[in-house]
Amino acid sequence: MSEADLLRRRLDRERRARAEAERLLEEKSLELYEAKTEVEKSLERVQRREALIKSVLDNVLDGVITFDANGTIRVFSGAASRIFGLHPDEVVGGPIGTLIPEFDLADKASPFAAVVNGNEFNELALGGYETTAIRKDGEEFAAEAAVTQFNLMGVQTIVVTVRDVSRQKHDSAVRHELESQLRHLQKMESLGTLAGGVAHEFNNMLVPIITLTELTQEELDEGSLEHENLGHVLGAAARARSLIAKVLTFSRKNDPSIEEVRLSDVVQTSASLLENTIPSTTRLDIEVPRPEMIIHGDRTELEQIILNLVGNGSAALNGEEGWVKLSFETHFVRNRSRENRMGLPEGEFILLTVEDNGSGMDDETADRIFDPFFTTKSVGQGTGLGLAIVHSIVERSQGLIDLRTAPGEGTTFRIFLPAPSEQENRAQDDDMQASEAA
Amino acid sequence: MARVLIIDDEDLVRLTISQTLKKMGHEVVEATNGLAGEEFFRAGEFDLVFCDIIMPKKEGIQTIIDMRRENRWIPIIAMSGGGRTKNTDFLEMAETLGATATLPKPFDRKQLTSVVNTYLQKAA
Repeated sequence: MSEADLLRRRLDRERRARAEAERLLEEKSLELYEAKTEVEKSLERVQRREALIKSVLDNVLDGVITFDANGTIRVFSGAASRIFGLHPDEVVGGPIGTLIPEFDLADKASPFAAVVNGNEFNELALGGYETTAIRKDGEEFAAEAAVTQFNLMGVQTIVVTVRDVSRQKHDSAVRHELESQLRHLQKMESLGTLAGGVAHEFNNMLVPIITLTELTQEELDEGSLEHENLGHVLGAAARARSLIAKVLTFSRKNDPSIEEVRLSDVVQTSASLLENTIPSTTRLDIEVPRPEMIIHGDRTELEQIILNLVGNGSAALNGEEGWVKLSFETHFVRNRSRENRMGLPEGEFILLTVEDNGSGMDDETADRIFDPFFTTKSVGQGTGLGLAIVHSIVERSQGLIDLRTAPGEGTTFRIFLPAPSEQENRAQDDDMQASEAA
Repeated sequence: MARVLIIDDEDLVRLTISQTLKKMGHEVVEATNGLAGEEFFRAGEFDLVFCDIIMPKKEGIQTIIDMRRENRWIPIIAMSGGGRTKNTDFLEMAETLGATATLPKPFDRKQLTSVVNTYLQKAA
């Protein structure tokens, strides 16, 4: 074989080898392409699934939070963001205890504490919680939290779904308060009707008792025992008359005579009346920052409120040295405040506060003090109508009574009455200044 | 001496007013309800009328309205022990509808004689 033949054969072998290599390369390229396509498809499927999960998490109304055995937040859904007012970047990696203090793993009393100890999940921690959570601005709110757990590739993960129930709690508290007020109102309404009827009958009976006694007394010698005795009858009849007048005030259903009343006038009249009725051992402190303020109300009724509350405060001192503080101020009732939850609408009110450092009351007594004829005073000392009248007046004025008391800790009555608008008062202040200048 | 009509269903109230007025020297006619009172009113000439509000057969407000239709000048005093409807005081209502004055119960002798003297003088 010539050298040329040898070279030709070698060239053929190499050509075949190259063709084989090219074929193999093409085959592998195809395989690679197919594999790449498959990977891309899988990746797309994963991404689509992730997007679906994220959309579900973001769109359910309950917030979803996951944290690990160290209490470190790992997932914070869109709904959780809306509830807490926080972006996931602000909380992921942080402790769960900052959002829900009850779940603080550092707190040994928490059922979640065991999660840290030995990385074992405490099954007792699973379930539903009525708890308090904290928003970004520090506002605490009522929340319901359901806790579940799973183990993902050896990593203990706790899942919390959080529901903001502050609105429901608020609505429920308001409904409860309104129902309670309605029950009380119905009770007072029927008692008022009954009291009005009884008062009417008594007034008829008192006509002959008073007038015939007077006629008979006239016939008797002044200074005689009989004359004196009839004097006692007339004294008792006068007390009965006064009591019936109070009963009728309580049972009145009509609108009070609303007029513009200057605070200083009401306070002055009441203070002068109180001077004669409360003992010298009671120190009466009066604080009225805006005495020229005008309020809309029935002057007599306002005085009745003051006289009854201050009188009761003084009586609570039981003759010992003590004080009763009376103050008038304006107060803005905010949404979700204590007064708002008790039924007052948002807005400005006149706040009359009567506070004493007397004996205070237990819950049982405090629950009954607005009931007509309920009294803690001894027989003959009180009619049990004073606070029923106060309650009736405040109800009619669409105001509110807030009572705070405890045995040995004195009593504070806060009476909220609708305030005139700021504009009206400014106009009155201007008039006042103008007349002073004149 | 004046002639006074007392309309009230309460025996002792009538007795009280009657004794006081008789002692003052006046003549008294008594009726126990609005219907009887109105009949007396039409039949006899009176200088003054006392009329209760809550009474059987015919209540005081309508009685006062009807008496006032009969006679515009006789003083009529409405009396009541303090009943009320939703927004109106019976005595205020009576005054609006024709009573000359009101006398809330319970009243004493001084208040009663004062009303009698005031309105008999005006009528004279």
